[in-house]
Amino acid sequence: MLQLSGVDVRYGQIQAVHSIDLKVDAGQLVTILGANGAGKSSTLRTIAGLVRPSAGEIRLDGVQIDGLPPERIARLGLSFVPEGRGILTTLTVEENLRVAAIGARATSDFDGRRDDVFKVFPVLGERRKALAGLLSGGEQQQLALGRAMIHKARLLLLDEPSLGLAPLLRDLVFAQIVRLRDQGATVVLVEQDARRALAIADWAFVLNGGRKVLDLPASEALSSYRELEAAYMGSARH
Amino acid sequence: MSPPDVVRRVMSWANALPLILVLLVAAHGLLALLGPGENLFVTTLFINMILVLALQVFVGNTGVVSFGHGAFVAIGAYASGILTMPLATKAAALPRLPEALRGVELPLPAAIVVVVFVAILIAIPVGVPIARLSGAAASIATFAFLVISNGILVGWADFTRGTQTFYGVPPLTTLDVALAAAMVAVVVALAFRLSSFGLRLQASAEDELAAAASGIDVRQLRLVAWVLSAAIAAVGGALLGHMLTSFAPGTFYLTQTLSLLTMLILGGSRTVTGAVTGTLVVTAVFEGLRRAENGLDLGSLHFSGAYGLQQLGLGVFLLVAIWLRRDGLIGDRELILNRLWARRSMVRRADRPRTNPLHDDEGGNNE
Amino acid sequence: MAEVLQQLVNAVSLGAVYALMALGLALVYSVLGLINFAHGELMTIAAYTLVFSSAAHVPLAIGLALAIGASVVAAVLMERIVFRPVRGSGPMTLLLTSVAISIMIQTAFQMLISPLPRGADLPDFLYQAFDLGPVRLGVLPLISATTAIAGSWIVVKALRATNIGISIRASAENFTITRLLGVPAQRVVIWTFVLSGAVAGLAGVIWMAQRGSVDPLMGSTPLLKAFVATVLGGLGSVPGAILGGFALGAAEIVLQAFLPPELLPFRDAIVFALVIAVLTVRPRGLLPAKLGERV
Repeated sequence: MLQLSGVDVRYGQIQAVHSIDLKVDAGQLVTILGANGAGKSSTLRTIAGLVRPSAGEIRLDGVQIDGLPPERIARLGLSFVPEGRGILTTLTVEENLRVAAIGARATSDFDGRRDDVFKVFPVLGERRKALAGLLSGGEQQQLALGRAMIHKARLLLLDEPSLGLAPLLRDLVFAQIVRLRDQGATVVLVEQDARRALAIADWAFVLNGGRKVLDLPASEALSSYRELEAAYMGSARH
Repeated sequence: MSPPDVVRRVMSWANALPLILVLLVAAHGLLALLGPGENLFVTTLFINMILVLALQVFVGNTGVVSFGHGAFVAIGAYASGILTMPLATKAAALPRLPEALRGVELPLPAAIVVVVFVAILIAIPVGVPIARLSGAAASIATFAFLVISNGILVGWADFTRGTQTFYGVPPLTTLDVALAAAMVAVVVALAFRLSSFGLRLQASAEDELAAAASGIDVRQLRLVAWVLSAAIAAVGGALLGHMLTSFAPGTFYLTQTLSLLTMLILGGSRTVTGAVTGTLVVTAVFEGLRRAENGLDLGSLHFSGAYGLQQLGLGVFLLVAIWLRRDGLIGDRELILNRLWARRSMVRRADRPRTNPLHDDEGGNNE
Repeated sequence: MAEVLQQLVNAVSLGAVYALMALGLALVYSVLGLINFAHGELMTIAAYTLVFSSAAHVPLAIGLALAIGASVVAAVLMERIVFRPVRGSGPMTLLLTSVAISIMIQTAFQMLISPLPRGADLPDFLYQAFDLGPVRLGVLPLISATTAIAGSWIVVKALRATNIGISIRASAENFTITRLLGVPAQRVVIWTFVLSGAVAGLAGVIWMAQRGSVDPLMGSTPLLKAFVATVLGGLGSVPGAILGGFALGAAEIVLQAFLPPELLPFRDAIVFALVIAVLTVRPRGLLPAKLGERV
């Protein structure tokens, strides 16, 4: 469903991502792991259209999306939740969902979709009129996922969703991510919390220094943890 | 391998040499090109340069656009005028001047010293609130300051003759004086920019939070830049007054402010080189358009002039220049002697990624 | 007591107009980070349109619609031709661009129409006054105030309740996130200018009616007031701009009424000095935009 071929990402002089090849099949839950600065976020941001790759191609269901503006890509069914959740703090919870609906061109269907979101995340329903900036970290994460639900996202990119959350909340968030995958979304998860990510993922990519160093089923990654560590630190090559 | 301290200090003053050379070449070149009758024009050019350099000291280092420097230019002009005016003229022009000033007639250098003092005295209390504001809010506050100063100039008729022309200022500004002052201004502006003051300011303009976290007191630094630039502007204003010999509050108001800002921003506010370049280019274009307003002969074609052509032409020129060079003609580099040392110590602007297609015209392809 | 009420009415009337002017400026700034120096010229465009339509004996209502339409068109053109090519540039470049276009429009008016003021030929009833209890109400100030307040209210409502309004508010907070949610950036920008232009047009018409005439440079004063009002209220904050406008208007009226005659010429200077004093204490304005605001 998602394919990156030979993608390079540069920030001025600095090359953040070197010639990356990634393939994600529909319905998979894939996780991208790696140490800080390995290029994980840059990869996601490039897929989402915030950054243009300096080389290579990105295809979504065969359609080339690199170079398209982010809003176009979002409307093709891709939802990107950036690091920190990207909540619009001066808008209410409900308005945040509304913006997602506007973007998805689904305002006529808004009530229905919004109620679906409230069913899955009841706390959002309770605090629908509250300013989103006042929500707790976990609630904001739910709101972010809720916005993706409004979009009926087919591909969900998540950048460190567990960041800043207490362990119990992390489990909750990951459960919600799994739920979304079960409802048909494809998920690409960038995570620091490797164990939890691998526990729910089908496939894992490990990045180091902007390059892909490991590409294997999640279960294998879990069982060969030593090798994983080595990949993180940079001594493994595939 | 860093050279001994003494050598470095000498080198740092010598850094201004290339620009000084540019000024000298410009002065002589223009006179040769236009003829000795254009003395006044070239003198005005260098006075403008002093004023633009004053702006650069503040705007270029803090990143805050200031509309308020016209106030200090005016202070320089009026104060120096009052101090140097022959007693007889003073009695006629400013009959209600306070006793203490009525009998004063100073030579230019002394007047300049006083002017600098006055400018600093005023700049400090005004600068304190402005230094606390950021970005656009500070800019608008300086705009308010300009309006306030204009109001005071108009209202304080005992000192300024209000809206009536302030005349009788001795014509003490020669081309040599203006040129020398401009060279000094270049040295000072450059020294400030390359000094630790300047570096810390540029760092905070780049990233205020990070700078504060490194212990940089942004407000204090901004105040220093503000006061220094006010002093330079006042000196320039004094020289301006002595060149014009008569002026009114409107001379220092919006038209001048916008012209100077244009010269600075077009040239590139971040560098002293930019300030110099911008002054040269805009003055040249402006003057060229002024002559065209009276009709222009281009080979065998004759374009008849029109009122307002100069302004319109300047506007068009500005827009085109901005479209072509988004961030000013001179980017980040100074024309200085020791590029190597300077580059190592100068804060480099973080390279921006090719992000956010909104910045290209991608965003326009949508609907 | 009657005096106080009178001044209150004057303050509200003036404040409402300033609020309207500030609102247009704040809208564009909140979304684009651009201080539109040419905002005053949008008002002038509307004023000239009205003057010319009434000279052509077009009914007032239609003339008003044309005037506001003209400033909306001008605003959209400004965005397309002048501001879009330089989007993403530093604030100074944006500022200089808007200054350039401001100068050009002013000069164009001077060249194409006339540098001299032109009287507004408005119906007489506007300049009458009537008594309501202890208070004397001028028709024009009353209409100005109600129109300005209504205009501001409509904009605020639109920002709150309509899809485009919510999109604008979202973009003002974080354009990137809003785009990630699929909202078309370009359309939001255009609509922001449409709103800004409409508001400027209304303000321009009111301003001209109060001055009684139109001239090429008349936009400078409203621009300055709008500037100061937005900063006072909190740059980038729409409610702040409205509050700032009212505060500025009130300050002017109060000072006008209570300053000794020798100090009256300094009224504006004193008002601005007060504004700077307020900003010293609250650098981010009375109603700052948001937590991670664009300053």
